[in-house]
Amino acid sequence: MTSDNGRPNPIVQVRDVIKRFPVGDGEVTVLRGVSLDIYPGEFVSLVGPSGNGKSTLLNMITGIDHPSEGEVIVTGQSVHMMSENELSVWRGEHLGIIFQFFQLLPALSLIKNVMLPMDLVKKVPKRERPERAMTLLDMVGLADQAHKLPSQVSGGQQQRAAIARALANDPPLIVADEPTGNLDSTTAEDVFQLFKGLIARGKTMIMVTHSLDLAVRGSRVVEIRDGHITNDVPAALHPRARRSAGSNQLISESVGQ
Amino acid sequence: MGVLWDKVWFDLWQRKARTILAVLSITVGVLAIGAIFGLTDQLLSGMNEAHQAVSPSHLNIIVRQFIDRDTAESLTDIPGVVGVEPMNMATVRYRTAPDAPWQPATAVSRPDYTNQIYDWLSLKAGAWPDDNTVGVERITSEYYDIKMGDKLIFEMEGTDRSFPVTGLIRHPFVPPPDFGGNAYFFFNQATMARFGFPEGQYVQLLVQVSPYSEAYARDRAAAIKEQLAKQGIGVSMIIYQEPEKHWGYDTVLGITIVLKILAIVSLLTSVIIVINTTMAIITQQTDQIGIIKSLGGTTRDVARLYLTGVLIFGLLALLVALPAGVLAAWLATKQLLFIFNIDYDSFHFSAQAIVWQVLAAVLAPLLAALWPVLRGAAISVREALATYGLGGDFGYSRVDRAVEHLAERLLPSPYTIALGNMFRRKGRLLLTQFVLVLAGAMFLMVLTLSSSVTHTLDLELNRRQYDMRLFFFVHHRSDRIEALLEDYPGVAEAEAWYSVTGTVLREGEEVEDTGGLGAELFGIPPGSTMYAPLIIDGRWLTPEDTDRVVVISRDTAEFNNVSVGDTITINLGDLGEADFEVIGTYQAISPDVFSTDPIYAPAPAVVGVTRQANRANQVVIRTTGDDIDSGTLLMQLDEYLNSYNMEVSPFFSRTRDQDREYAYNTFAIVNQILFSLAIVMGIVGGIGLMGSLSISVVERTREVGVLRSIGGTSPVIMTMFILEGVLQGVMSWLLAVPLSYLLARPLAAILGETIFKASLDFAYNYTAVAVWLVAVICIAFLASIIPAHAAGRISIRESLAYG
Repeated sequence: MTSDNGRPNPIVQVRDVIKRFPVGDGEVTVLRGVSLDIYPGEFVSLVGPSGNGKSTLLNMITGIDHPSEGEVIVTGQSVHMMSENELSVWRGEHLGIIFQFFQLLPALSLIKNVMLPMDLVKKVPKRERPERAMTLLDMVGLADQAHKLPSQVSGGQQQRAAIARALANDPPLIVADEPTGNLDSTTAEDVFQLFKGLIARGKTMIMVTHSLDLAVRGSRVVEIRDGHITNDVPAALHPRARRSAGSNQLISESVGQ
Repeated sequence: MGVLWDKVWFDLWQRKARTILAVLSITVGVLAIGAIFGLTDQLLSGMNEAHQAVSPSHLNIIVRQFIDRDTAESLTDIPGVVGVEPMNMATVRYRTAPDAPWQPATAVSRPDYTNQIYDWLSLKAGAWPDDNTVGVERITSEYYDIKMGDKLIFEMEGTDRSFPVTGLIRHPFVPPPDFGGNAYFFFNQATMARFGFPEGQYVQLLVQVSPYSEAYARDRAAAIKEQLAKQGIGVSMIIYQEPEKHWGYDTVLGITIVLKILAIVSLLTSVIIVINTTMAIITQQTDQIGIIKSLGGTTRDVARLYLTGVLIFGLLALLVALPAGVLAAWLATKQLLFIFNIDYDSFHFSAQAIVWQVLAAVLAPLLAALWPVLRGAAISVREALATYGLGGDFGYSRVDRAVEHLAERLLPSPYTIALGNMFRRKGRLLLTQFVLVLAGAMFLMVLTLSSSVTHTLDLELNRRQYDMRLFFFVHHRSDRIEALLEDYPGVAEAEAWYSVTGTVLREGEEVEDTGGLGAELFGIPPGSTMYAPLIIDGRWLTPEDTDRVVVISRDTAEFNNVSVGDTITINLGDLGEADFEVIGTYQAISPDVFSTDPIYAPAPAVVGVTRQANRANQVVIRTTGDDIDSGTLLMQLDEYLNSYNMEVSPFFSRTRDQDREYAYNTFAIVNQILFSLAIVMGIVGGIGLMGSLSISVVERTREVGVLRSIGGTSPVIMTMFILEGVLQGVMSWLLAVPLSYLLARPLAAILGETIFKASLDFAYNYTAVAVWLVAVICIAFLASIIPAHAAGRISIRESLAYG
């Protein structure tokens, strides 16, 4: 679907979102009128110091949390108006979520973890689910570990299994909250390559990260400070990307530090 | 449910200890339901079926003179009387060896053992008695250890005669020896003649009427009495018997109702454990719920997942509880029926109890789990994925602040946390407290009931200022009895009493019998200090009472619808009939279903009616209380009076201690069952506490990490959790004591009415209060060890990675 100007409609539309949290007798405002459009096929990195609102913004997009004011439209649905149950069904079909701590169900093997969203949403025919789960695990390089429990594989492998699980119902939008935060640099690079592959397959990706070096390897960098979007540029135009390109060096520096 | 099935099984299998605890908790409740409901169903129907199977007589008439078979059978000429079978029954004495003491027994003789008409005796082993042999009643054989082939010596015709036991016989209506029943032996007519019962002559008639109704049976009894009276034959007693209902049915029914209530309470505690366990699982897996919901799982999916787990707990519990319950019900029924001399050898089960068990195992846990599951399943993804904070919701209310203040004053740091932690999750605290308080209250109530029974018996026995009462077979001169006894060593005072059986007639009624066993009119000597019953209304006899006044039992008053000030007519058969004014009603305390409630009147008034002056058939004795034991003294007096041809009837001649023992035995079974249930509830309460503390450990994993990081050692952390458990135990004790005090009183009233047909004198058991404090602290300590140990093993790394 495209807009009047020929550009595709945004897959994520965040309009004037304000989010306040009660604290003691008062409240704290974490997002202060954030607006953001994300288009299909984009790889958007949300960066910024800790506690400045990037995970909160991601929670608005996934419907995990509701805005105090403003509206959030994702895949054409007014997420801020949906009930918990409607959100669960919508997420299962349209969204793949990847968490920092992998969050695989410890009771299920990797393949069963990948099959779980298919069982819940029932979009994929029952007969095809094991095969599709195996294909996804193969894609992330875990076909030979498919029947192991999460506790039996490494953190990097768990995160790759979580990526396979996020793709289970072939959602158009993948969101990842600090997906490499708990991984060593080599494993983090492997995971990032998988994300790049997803973009190549036409998925839209939103990633919260502390690492500017990783952020600038996406297509767009959105920087949040004090509840405002302070910088929203194509990744290639971000100063870090230019510096990296100029010095041809990878400087590992955390934005928040 | 697809992949989620795997999760259900994994959770059940991986957390074996939790699964076993949950299943065992449900099993306890379901087993209690199955065993008690099954027992009740089988016991009551078993009693009635056994009763109906022996062709029970409707009337058991005891006559004053011997009658022959023709006279007996001629009673069938009375319309409605369809059959009469004569028989003989007598009180005799026996011993197992020449040097053994004499024992009382009942000798029974039927005209033709192989062709009985009513109240069928059945031969269990050996042969029916002949001229030289004796048959022993089956329960007598068990209780007194008299076996086939043993030789017994009977006192007959002034000599001792030995008979071998050659038959084991079941009598359907023998009172259990535990409840005061005697030994029963069976003789043929020829042998019975040596006890003074001429062959072909009888003193007892078993009668059936048709069509049966209670009113018609009473009406026909009156007709029989009238008919016999025309022939100069007096009737001393008529026992009425319902053809469909066992004589012990009402007593057992009362007890089973109490048991059913306790089974339901037991199930309720199991259900609370299920709530606790489900809450524990939900708490532990909150993050997993968040993940499932973030992957597209709805509240319904999540609820189904956990309810399936609970259903499996229930089904596993059923797997254990169903066969165990069926077996327990059958074995308990078999054992209890045997007390009533009823065989229950072939395996039976109650379909009704099985249905209740299935419902209890499946529905009760599901309903119990519904609230925590729905609450957990409805949690939002954000809440579910948020890690646990350190503070929880504690500290906001005044109660919390008061608790914190109290903890600071009472407990050393860091254990102040333990008291505060107790109140952090008030809902869970409430559930755990509910089970522990209930267990404590039950324990205290059971022991209070027990002490109330003892207290009631003590008070009743204290109202009897005599130490023993001896009954004679026939009447003797009262002055002679008293003179003989007052010189006997060990006897401080003896007072001869006269009693006569009669019938209380309601206003307008002529000769129809009222009470099943009739009434017994006692003539109390003026100024007697031997006995003063507990007066409920009106007053007791005074030395000035010489007119026709009576004090009757509450039951007699209620049955005859009379109250103080009314006049009743007492028919004493061939001894006459007279009107008496009711001046008081008293509380009768007797567990003996075969006894009658006495009617007390001044001796001169009774003599005035009967014209039987200076006569007595019993004597009450006050002992000097010296060295000699009252039981031994009773036996000596028996011998002594016998030597003066005053034969003592062993049936009702008892010492005060024997009376207490018989009464207490009646209560013992109920007491044991109640006590067992209290113990089970204590264990279930411990399991509940363990579950609750386990959840606390999970919730406070991060807090434990923080404590560790600031120097908290494993023993400190373990002590913190154990202290929390023990504090919960102490709190439950504080609540259980007043609760038990409030509840024990009405329960004592119900049980008293059921067993003694009287309200128990309430005696709260203060020793039990101290015992339960120690017990609940032990239970709480043991229940806390596993969770505390788990908490003590948490590392900083684990705790901070949690969530």
